[in-house]
Amino acid sequence: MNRYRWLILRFFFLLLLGVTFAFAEAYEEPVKHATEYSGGLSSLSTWRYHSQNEALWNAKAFDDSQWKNLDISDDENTLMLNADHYYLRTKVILSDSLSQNQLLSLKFENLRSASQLYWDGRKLFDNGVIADAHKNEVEGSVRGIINIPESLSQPGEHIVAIEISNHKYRSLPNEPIVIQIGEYDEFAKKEIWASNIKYFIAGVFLAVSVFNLVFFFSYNRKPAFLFLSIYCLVNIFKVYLVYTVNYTEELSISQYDSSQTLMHTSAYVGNFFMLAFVLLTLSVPRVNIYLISLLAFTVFAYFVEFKGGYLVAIALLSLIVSAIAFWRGRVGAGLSLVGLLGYVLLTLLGNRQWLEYGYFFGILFFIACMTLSFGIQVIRQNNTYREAVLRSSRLENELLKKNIQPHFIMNSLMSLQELLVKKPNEAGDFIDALAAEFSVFSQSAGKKLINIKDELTLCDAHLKIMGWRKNSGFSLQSVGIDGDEKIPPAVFHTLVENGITHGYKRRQHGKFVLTKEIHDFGVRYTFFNDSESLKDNHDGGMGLKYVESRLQESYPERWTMRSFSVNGGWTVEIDIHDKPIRKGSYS
Amino acid sequence: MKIMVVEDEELIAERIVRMCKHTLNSRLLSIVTRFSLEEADIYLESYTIDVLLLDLNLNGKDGFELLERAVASSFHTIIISANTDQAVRAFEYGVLDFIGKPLSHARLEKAFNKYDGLIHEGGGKARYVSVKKNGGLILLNVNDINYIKGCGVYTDIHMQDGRNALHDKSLNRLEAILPQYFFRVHKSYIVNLQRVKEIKNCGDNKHELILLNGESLPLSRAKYKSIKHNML
Repeated sequence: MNRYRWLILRFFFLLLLGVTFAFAEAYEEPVKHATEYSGGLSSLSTWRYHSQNEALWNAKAFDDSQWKNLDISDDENTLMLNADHYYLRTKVILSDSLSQNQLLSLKFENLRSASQLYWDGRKLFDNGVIADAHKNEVEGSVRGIINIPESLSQPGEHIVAIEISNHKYRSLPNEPIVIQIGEYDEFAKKEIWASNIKYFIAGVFLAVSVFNLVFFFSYNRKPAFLFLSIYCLVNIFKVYLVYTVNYTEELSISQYDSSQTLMHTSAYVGNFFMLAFVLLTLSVPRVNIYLISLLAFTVFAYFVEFKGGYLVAIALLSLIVSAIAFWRGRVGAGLSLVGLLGYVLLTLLGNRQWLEYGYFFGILFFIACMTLSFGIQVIRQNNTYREAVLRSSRLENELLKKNIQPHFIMNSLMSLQELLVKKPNEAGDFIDALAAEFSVFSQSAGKKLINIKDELTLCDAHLKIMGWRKNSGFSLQSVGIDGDEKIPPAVFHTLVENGITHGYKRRQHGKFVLTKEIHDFGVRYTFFNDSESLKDNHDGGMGLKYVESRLQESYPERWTMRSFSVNGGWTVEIDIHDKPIRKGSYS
Repeated sequence: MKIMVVEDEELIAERIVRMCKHTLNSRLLSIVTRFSLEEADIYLESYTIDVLLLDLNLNGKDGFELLERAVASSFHTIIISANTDQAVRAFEYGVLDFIGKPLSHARLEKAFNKYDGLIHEGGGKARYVSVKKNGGLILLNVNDINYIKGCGVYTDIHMQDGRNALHDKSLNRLEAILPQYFFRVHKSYIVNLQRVKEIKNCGDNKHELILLNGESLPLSRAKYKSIKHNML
């Protein structure tokens, strides 16, 4: 088994390594100079740039050959636009093959703060109010789609000129500028698709979040469920922000900026919850220490703006934790590992622009794996629970059977018949003892634990009955018992029965002593009897099986029972530990 | 009738003795009580009994070990036990009867009638015969028995595989516990009818039984008719 686990681990890490290199190779993309347009969506990335503004700069015939070149597809170049007021010009050649029925549009993003757009010298759009001074400038939307009138979109050469004033945001780092040309329908389709994806992903997150929240409150309050639920909620928020930042029109620049900040923050919060969830669900030891360290690391990374490194670190740590847990055979670790690897792969695909929303699909894949893992665990727990219920009812049955087993009842009744003839005045007491034993039995049949004083009443009654039947005298002493201690029913009664059946001959008097001691580990009950302690008479028969089952039911994995001969008798020692030790056993 | 009661609970033992006395009256020659089989063994070294009334669960031990010893003896064994679920097995070991606790006069009387041969109920139910051999006990499957020959107070059991074993019980007592297909063909012979090949007419109204292995056994005139009826 270990060998296979090791092989699987190695396979996944090699896969991860391979994919990482593949992406590194693919990253060097050539810069496109799209000035010819023949359909679809094209970015206009090569521009002529000049600071200041003059009246004729928007004219089609203006010669801008002396202006600086600017490639806005390279984010670095946007830093050059550190001007209050400037112009951008570019040439677009519309192909002859273009359909005349299609409405052409221009889409712009991040032309801060205000701009005016000219097509062949004709003003098509005012975004905000351009001004020479800060106080007169009115910022426009962060993006917009401008339709080009049909009369102006004939095949041939066209000039796009944009006048931009940026008093307000000049001192801040610029966001990447995007200007695209395309058919209006294409822009619209893309937006509708993005909107659908947003609702789909958010819907799945919401469903999983609610599912886990319900699970948390109604099932077993495992913090892992709560953390996964919060993780999903954070991601719903993030999906909304990503959509807003990338697609929403009529979004002011300041709204855009605050959305960016929130998106930035949500990445920290989300990743914190992801790793926290992984730690919790895999039952990592000393989890609180790790959670506090993780929180400190997250806060630190947030304030030093170490976002890239932080995200990579969280993904790696999650993978390492899952791999270790998988190595140790923890429940759910295999699926967690698969989920995280899928998450990393899809996120990389997303980052390389090969799969839009790749990051979210990665998270969805991870969550799907974890939900599957939860499902499997719940089914297992459910089975265990059902088995426990079955065991409980079997034990209840066994207890009742002990009470009405023919060996006890018929022999008692036959003894009673003789007592009625021989010593009729004692027969009443015999019946009282029989009734006492029955009454405690019937009261405790359905209970997992009873007061020890009831158990002692049961033992006393049984000893009295057996005293008459065997023409002996049995006594029971208790040491250190308060009476309110809880123990499983008929445990000591079974030990009394065993002692009498195996340990004493006719007319032999017997003494039983039950002692309770408090120890560091928990409680120890010592049950002594002064019988002839023959090992083969204490061979752990059916009675002791009952005792074991009862102890395991009430104190799972935290009990031991030993039985051994001592000077002058026989002792059974039952230890009930405060903390789980191992599978309880009888020795 | 000489009876021994083996029962580890004193009140119950007293009850059984009281009821035996009441049921048997003058037919009871002697009755003794012992509280363990060891004590019983000591008594049996010096005295004989006709019936053992045995509790199957003495001091929590498995009663069938004791039972195997008891049924190998010359006397009949009647079990008195609260665990009636053990009755079928006890009968297979060759007990004369099994009485559930608590005891009633009527049931006890029925058991003694069985002892007297007054009740037959279609033969006994023994599937094994326990035999003392070399200081130990062996269990013989009754299906492996060809026939049993009476030798005074003992009996000689002849097996299918040619072996034979001596049993302490008399022919009468074995007849009472063996199944119906064991037939008393002669005052000295019980035969397993499943092993009979044919009845040979020896003339002069004399007959012999020929077994599958070729052995021949005498068939008394009185039994000839009923065995013919039985074999048909």
